[in-house]
Amino acid sequence: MNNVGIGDRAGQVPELAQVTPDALRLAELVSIAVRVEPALLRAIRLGLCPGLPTAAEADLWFSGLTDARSRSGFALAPGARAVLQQRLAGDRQNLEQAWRITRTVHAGAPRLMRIEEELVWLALSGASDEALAAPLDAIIAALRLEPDRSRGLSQWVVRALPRLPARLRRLDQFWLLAFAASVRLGGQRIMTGTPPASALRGALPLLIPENAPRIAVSARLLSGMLDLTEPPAAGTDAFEVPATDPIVLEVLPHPTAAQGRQVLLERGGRTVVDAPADEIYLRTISGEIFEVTAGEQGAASYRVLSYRIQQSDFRDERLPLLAPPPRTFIAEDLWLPDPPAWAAER
Amino acid sequence: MRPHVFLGDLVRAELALRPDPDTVAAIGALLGLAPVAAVREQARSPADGGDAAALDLGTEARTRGDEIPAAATPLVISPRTGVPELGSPLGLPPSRVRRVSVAPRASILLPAAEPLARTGMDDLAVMMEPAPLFRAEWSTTLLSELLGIRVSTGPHDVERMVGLAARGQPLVELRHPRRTLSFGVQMLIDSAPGMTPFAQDCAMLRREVARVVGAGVQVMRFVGCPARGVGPGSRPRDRYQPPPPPTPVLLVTDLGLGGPEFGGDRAGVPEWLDFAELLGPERSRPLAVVPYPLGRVPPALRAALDVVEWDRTTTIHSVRRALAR
Repeated sequence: MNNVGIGDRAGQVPELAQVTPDALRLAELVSIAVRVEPALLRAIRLGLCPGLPTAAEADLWFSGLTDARSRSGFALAPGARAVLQQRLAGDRQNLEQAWRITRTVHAGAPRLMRIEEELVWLALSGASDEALAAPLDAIIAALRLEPDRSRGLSQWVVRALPRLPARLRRLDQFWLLAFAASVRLGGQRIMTGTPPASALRGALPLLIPENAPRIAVSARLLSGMLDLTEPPAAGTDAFEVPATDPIVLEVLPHPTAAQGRQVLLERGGRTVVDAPADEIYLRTISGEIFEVTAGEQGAASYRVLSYRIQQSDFRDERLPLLAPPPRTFIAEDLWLPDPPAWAAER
Repeated sequence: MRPHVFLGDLVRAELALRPDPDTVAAIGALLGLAPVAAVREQARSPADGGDAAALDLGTEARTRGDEIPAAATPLVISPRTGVPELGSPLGLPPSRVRRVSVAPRASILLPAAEPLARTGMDDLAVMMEPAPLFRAEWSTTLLSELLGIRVSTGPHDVERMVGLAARGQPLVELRHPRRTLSFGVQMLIDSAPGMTPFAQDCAMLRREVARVVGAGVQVMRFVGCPARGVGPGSRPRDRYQPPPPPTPVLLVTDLGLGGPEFGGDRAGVPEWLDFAELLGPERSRPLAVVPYPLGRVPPALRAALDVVEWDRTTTIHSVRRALAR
């Protein structure tokens, strides 16, 4: 799973080991840190590898492992940082000492930066999922309960989530934050990859603001196939979903089904999934449910069975019925790897 | 415009009151949904094994001109779940959905976590200074040794003066040499990108030099090589002027050894050699404090400058060795 817009430089690590092993050693030891300032670099070098010369600091600073260099410090390139963290995690003693020094030097750093570093430490040190989830729960609670902070927190989520250790991606809270932030930032893409099926089903509707921007998606239920498109294909019916990237929908056989099949629809993309029924239900991440039926002659129709949830209180927000006119499905406008038999017969 | 009363309201009324079909039709008319063809109960639905209510809504929907499915099968409402069963036709109102939706959602509550505390005035980010590159306890001695000018103003060298007298040579005043900082120092700090990792160290060294030397410190900045221009700010534009002899010149620089691969404003060896020549022979050689091992410094530069490694490993002895070259 790669970060969006950031090249994976993990491949540069072995090369650096051949050229400047001192800098590589230093890079491993500072890899917990979100931002590496001269003070941290110096403290790590003098504290954990005093035999390394001053030049190791400059060699690392100007190496291909770093990103976003400035007078005040640098960040390790995310791909390289992940590899360096794995190497550091294999050396428990140095991991603990590096964390101790990082925490001390960054005691006056911004709170969210400290939380991010703590998450890295917890993930690398093998802490329990509960321990990992606790800081994320606090941020989720702030997003949910304190709207005036939601934009700033969302911007932190955009920066922080892609560079956190992969282990965190197993947590529901990780994906809740990713999509809650995405929708608050107008559908900005934060993560690639597929969230666990359970991650978005539960609490995410509680995190989607009422005024969240929306985008139109079209769905067509064809013989055994559900065709989802964003933006809506010409001549199809559209319904609106919270603007995220990717768009996440859950295909339900039944409007009250607790669990359905999670479908990711890339922005500007199209997805065709199996849907062996004449009618199915689509649940959005805001909890709205749309009924999709094949309709007469294969045309699709939608009807909102929406019930939005704000906080833990339920409110019946029945939305107007979307009643598109019946249309005839034209087989040619749907690309399918293997056209269904009925299409071939037409 | 669609009416704000939905068929679901009629279904709710029907399930609550269990009226006869005529009453249901009358209720439908009152709700603005007339004419309703039929609302009837079914005895039991084999699908869920319990009582079910079924509505034939096709006529009503057609009357209102709405889209209806081709095969308008009866809406089967499960008394157990309260929602339309699978197989119910399109265009049906969301009757009973709310109650069913509550069941799974109500159990999904976020953890009762405290929101992340807000940033207060006490949480302002504080950037620490790095530990000094010279050992703090040796710093004064090292700088005194580096920047002091040897002058013959010490105590009288009685031993040598007696020797002269014993050999019948003219007696002159001989004094022990000593180092003095009274001539001050011209400190030239490199602001090229290669020195970025050590910017704070430069500032700290500047303070330390001022503390050791006193008021006679002239600090100027340059980028790459002082011959390109010097000045007090980050954009040095003034022509470099050497200090009057014997004031020493202290260079804090990487001598072009580090920095980004491209665009680092590096100065090459010839440029540095020209600069060393510019200072003239009447003063001691310029001193360069360099954050790189001496082994990385080209021999030609080590011949033209007194180079000291800026590191914890630098001792008074290594400084004296460097100055004795």
